[in-house]
Amino acid sequence: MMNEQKIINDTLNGKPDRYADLVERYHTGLIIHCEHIVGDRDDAEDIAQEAFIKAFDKLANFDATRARFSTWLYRIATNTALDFLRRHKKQFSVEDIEALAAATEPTYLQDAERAEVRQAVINLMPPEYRHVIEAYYWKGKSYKEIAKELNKPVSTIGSYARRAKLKLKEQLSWVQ
Amino acid sequence: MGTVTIEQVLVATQPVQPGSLSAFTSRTMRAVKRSAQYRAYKKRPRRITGFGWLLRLSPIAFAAVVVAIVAAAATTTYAIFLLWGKPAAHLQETGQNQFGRQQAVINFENCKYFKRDSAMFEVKAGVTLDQPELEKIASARCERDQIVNWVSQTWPLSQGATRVERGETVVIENITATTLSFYDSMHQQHLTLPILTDSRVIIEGADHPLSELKQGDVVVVAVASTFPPGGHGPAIKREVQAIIKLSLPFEYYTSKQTLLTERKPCTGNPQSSCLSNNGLHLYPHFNHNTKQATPETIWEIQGKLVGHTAHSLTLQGSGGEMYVTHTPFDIVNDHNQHWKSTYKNTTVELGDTIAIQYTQPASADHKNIADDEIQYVTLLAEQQIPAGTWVKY
Repeated sequence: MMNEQKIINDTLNGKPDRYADLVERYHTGLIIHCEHIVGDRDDAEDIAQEAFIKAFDKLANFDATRARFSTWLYRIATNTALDFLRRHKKQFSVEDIEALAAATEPTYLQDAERAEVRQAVINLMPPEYRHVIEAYYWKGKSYKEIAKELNKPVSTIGSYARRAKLKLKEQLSWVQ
Repeated sequence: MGTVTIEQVLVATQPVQPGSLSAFTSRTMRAVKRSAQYRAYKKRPRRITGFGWLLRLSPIAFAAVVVAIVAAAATTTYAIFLLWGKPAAHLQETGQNQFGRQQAVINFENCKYFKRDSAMFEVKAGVTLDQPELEKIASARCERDQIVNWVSQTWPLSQGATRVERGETVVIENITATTLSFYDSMHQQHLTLPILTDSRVIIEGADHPLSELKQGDVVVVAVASTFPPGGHGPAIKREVQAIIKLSLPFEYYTSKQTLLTERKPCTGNPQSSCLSNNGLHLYPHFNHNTKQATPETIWEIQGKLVGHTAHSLTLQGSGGEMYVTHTPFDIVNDHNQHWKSTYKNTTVELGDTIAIQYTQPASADHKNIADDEIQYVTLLAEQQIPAGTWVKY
């Protein structure tokens, strides 16, 4: 487990470049989180970047006794996404947005659970399903980038992702 | 476990990525560096120098510090590092990476070798190292580098007849008041060298008497070699300039160093990660038409060989990105047909790890490398001792 407190301490005390470790660790999940809320990948990347910058600016105020860094970071991102939706005058209900946000909030798994999930992904068939899951959730690629790699329409990639997740949920009974 | 969604679970299972920075991270850090907070964080906290900090303690705390110093001075375990800061390595995290190898992130103190405070390593295939082993191997690299740097700075190379060599790591076979005997690090040459009255003995960063060294100690020996006038021919005299005792067993500075390879962002291509490793030289074998390059303008890519034709090599980098190198001929077939005997008939095959160093391109498209930009093409191999036994990475 990354020693986040040390990275935060180093960032605040003369080594701000250490913050890159936190950005690298969390950016894939955070972009997915923002994409769920605003529905557009490019906007999601902008919002995620804005959230990282806000978190950096406020890092001295982060209290590790009250929350994990990821929980705090995701909260900043959710609020930034809500501001984005308001600025673009999109109709939405805060309750609906909060529900979307909750579905991609960070969670922490035991080693055995992580191993089980990885094995389920490795066993996914057809191989395109596995490729889409790995590329989107583990390598931070957008559906557009994956579509180009597989030479398929973006809509097909979305369809592969949905079917892959259904198959995974069948394998992993403890997942909602 | 409460209810979790499949999205949460998939994100939580993201493997630890090797030491590379994504384009998103690079972009975000560029924006971070423009902020006023970046400059504020960059200022180091004010350090209390000298003994001024003592005056700020409460009387009880002051007394406790005095007792501690007296107690430490009374033992032989207290060491002051006068010549260099003692390097230390601390494991931050370890796990299996996407290449099926153990990888570890290690933080350093007083270690200039890796040029930063933290580095990512891959462990040799089929090997698992626990935390103490990882930390010892990494700190041994830093410790030896500290010593070699100290020797280089204390006795800079000169144009005179005598120069001090940077020093091998050896085990003392025998030591007297006037001579030091040891085998070289490959255990091929036995040497007995004179110790001078002004030869220095360094233990834990400080000067010590010669009598504190003994048979079996692991040391770095800095040798002053005097060459004949004109500088040609072997040394006519070799004397011990300094003996620096190392803190760990011999194998941590020699054979165990082959177990860890640093992985870091590729020069010029930080979206991919590169191993700091050598291998089999594939190209070029003769002078060829390459653009002039200085070390600052040489970039690198590494990846799995996924294709080769009469005029190209294609590699897949650590993050899945593709790189195409245009080549004057089929480098892979050329090696396999004409050069493999140089490397005990080791052939290049699809799936092997290849490194390409090339001149910084004039164009922005670094994923297509022109053939006159190639500096070297290397088939990466595991670090081996003795050198010359080739095992592909």
